[in-house]
Amino acid sequence: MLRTISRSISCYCIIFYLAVGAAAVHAADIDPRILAISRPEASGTFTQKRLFKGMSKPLISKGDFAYAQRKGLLWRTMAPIENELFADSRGVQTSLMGSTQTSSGKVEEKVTHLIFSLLAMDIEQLQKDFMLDTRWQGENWQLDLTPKSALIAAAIKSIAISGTSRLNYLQLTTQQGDVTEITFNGDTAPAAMAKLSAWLKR
Amino acid sequence: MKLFNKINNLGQRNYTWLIIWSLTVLITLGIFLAQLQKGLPIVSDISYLLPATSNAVEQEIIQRQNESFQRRYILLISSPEQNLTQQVHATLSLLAPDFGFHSALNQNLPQGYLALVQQRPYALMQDADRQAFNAANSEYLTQSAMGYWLGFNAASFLSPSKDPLAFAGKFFQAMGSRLNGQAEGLLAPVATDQQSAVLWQQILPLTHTTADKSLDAQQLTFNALQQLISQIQQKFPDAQVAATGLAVHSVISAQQTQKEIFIISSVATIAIIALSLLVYRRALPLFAACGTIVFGSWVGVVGCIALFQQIHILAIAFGTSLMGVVVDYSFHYFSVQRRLTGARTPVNNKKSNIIRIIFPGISLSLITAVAGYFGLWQTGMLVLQQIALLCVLGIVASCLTIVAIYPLLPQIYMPAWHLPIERLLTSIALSWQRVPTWIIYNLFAVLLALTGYTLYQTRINPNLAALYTPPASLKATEKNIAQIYKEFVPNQYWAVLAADPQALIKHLYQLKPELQALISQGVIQGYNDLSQWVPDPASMDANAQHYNELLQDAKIQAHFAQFDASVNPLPQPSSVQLTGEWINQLPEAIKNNLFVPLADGRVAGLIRFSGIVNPAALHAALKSAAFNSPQQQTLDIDTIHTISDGLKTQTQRARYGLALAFFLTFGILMAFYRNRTALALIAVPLASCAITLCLISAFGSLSLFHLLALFLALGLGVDYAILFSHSDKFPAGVSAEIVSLAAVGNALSFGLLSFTSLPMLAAFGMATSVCLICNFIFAPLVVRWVQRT
Repeated sequence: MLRTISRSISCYCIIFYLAVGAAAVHAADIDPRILAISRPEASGTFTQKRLFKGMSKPLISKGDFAYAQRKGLLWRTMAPIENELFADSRGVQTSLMGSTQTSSGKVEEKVTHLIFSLLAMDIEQLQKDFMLDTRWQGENWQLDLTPKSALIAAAIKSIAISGTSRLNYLQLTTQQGDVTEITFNGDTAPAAMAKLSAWLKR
Repeated sequence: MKLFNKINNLGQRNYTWLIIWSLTVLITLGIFLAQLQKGLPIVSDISYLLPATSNAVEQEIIQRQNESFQRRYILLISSPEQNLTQQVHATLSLLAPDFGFHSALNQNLPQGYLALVQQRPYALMQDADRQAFNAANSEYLTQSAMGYWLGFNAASFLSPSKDPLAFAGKFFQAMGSRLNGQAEGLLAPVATDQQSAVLWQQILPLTHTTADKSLDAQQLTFNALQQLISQIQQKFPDAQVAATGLAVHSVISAQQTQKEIFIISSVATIAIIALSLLVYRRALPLFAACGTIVFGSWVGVVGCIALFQQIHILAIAFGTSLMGVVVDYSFHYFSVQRRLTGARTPVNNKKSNIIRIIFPGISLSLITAVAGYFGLWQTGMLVLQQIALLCVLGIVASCLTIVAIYPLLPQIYMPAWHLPIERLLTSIALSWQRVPTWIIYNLFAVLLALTGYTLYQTRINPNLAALYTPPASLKATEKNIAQIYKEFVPNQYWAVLAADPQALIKHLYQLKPELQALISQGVIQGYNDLSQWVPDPASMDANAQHYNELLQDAKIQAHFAQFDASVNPLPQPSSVQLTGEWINQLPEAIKNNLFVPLADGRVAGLIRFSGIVNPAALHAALKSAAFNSPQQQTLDIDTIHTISDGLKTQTQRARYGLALAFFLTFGILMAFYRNRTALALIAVPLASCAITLCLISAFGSLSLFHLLALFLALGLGVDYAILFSHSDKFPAGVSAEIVSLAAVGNALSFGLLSFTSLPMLAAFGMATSVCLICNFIFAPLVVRWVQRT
């Protein structure tokens, strides 16, 4: 099925900030235990599995990430390729095979803005775009996010994040049926945090 | 004079004037009714004021682009809360279709275009990918594709099975910002600092469905937009919605013109009514004068529409102002009548006498006015020609009314009452008598020299501000929009001409290295043209073959294997897709911005720039062989420059037109008077214009609208001078009375006009007022001169 580029952009935004910042979700009408999960800065490793509709095998990647509230973000893929993505209020920079590319597009700036809103525990921002529904099973919680606006709904069917004392898992399903699953391994990634700190000091 | 009397006698005896007048009314009425059925084509587009450029193709492109822009509106939503701005944006988007608007955002690429890309994912690539593809750098291509599929780009419209190297996905990711206008304010509200308070602002570009560009249609669209905004404001009182666009400017400037003209003309009319009643103590002269000028304006407008198929609102505004001279003719009639009423002459004879007395003066004024406006006509500028034709037709129709209808009006007794200003005029006349002749000669010699020097030295103001200054609120809205909505520069672009779309794309691809060099040199920051959206037909077949070969590469096969082992090379395309098909499938907004099919069968591809850092270097670059050669023609289109240049050309031509008008008028005066008298008659407006020109040059720069005023000053100056030159033939005091009445009335009207906020009307009013005062001072000089000769 053919899809539009705008959907791609919307989805890009949404996946991007949710993958990194979902742990920071909070709201006045959301269970305070979930709000307590948020942290001003964090790092860790992840495993991402992406299954495209019509393809028999998922594309699996591994890497680490680090973020500092209102400062910046590093999202680093270690395998099967090495790829880095830095973002801060000035824009987004990606590195691949030694070459660096800076995105000056407004979409990327918007993404960055959304990330920082999330990392700053700006639950109001998230609630503007999604309806939030929390479910509990013992110590495990799950937050289902359903798009409110037509623009986001055109790209995203649903998002579910879950965890215990921290965010463990994110699943995003696009309207086209592609599914992205990100598992956060519960560890820390000091190297990623150091790299982010260095980048922020540049 | 004998000739005039013969003509007049013929008219009086055979009721010829009445028959001609009746025929004029019938013909004008017939044409008017036909025009009314089609709708009066009154236009207000500022670009209409410009002269047609010498290059017809350039003119056609500008016109087509203007038509496209005319339907566009940009709405700016502001509120103190982000959520509220978003809500207003969503509601506006939802309600807009009910009011005939649709979103002008290029959010979606048409399915047909995406289908073309799906068939050929190698057709459009980013520069880095193109280089790697041409170099068969499978390592880079694989890594880059993996980066794309692993990154946050999940919703590419092609899956890895259709676009394993992610060429199309990466291309559209890069072009996405252009699809959305490169403005975050389009996608979501942005926070802006507004006078120490933060506002959340978002932009909504809209396009109206109507293709009608007349002022009426624009007014209707503007009203619909106002209703939409008003509905939103009622629902969300804490949010503000402001709109801009070419049509908004047209309507607001028309409204502003109408409002100010209404206020000024109301005040002036009341003053003139009071003045007329004071002098004549009867309503008839006033009604007759008003009726005459309304009739003249009507004939002029109908005649203009018949000849030009449409008329600009400014031609009506200036044309009717310029033909205000006919009020003098009306008052001329009644002033003479007042003097004759009560004399022991049979009534019919009195009426004949009045016309006989005023006929030579009116005829000569009419002839000189026509000669003056011929000077305006020969400028070749459409609006100036409309003004000239409106004036000539209007003045002729008004004069015809005076000689045909006025004698039929009841002859009433009008008690004499003299304006205090008449005494001033008499004092001026007496003062002139005391001035030695050599001083007058020298004075005029100096004035002539000054005029020549001023016309040679004066700076012409081609600034757009001389044409129109938008209201402060609209300027503020546009400033806000410009801060967050950075579109490609709309006014300056290049047009590459080609025989057909295929040749055009070939040319555009050939120009890519040159344009890239301009970016590298810092002349421009970026550009957009069709080559960014439509593939090069020449390399498509070669690309297809190379692409399928690359897919067999071991690294790329290993990359496929991570997804699915069943990915197969694409089938070889049967033929190159026609370039025209790619262009046709583009979103309308992109197509209209970048592609113009021309009337002669050729096509033009527009290269639009973002961030023109060095305009001079950009202009210079166009002269290089790459852009302009016998095989390749590229036009440099800069509408702001064209408008400025057009204004300058119009002003220069109007300057020559004014000189021609003076010569023609002088020639006519020479034909009717002795040399010295003719010289004295032309000296009045010449002195007035010289002084006005010197004053304008001393305090500012000369604009087209100052010169238009001088045309009026020429007509009025000659008119006053003729009145004084004929003073011995009129009953005593008539000349002073008419000139005083006309000067005060005109000074009131045009003096008030100089206070309007519309720069062109203010310039016109100011220059006319100065000229009128000068005409008033110099006209009595003629009496002394005529007496001497």
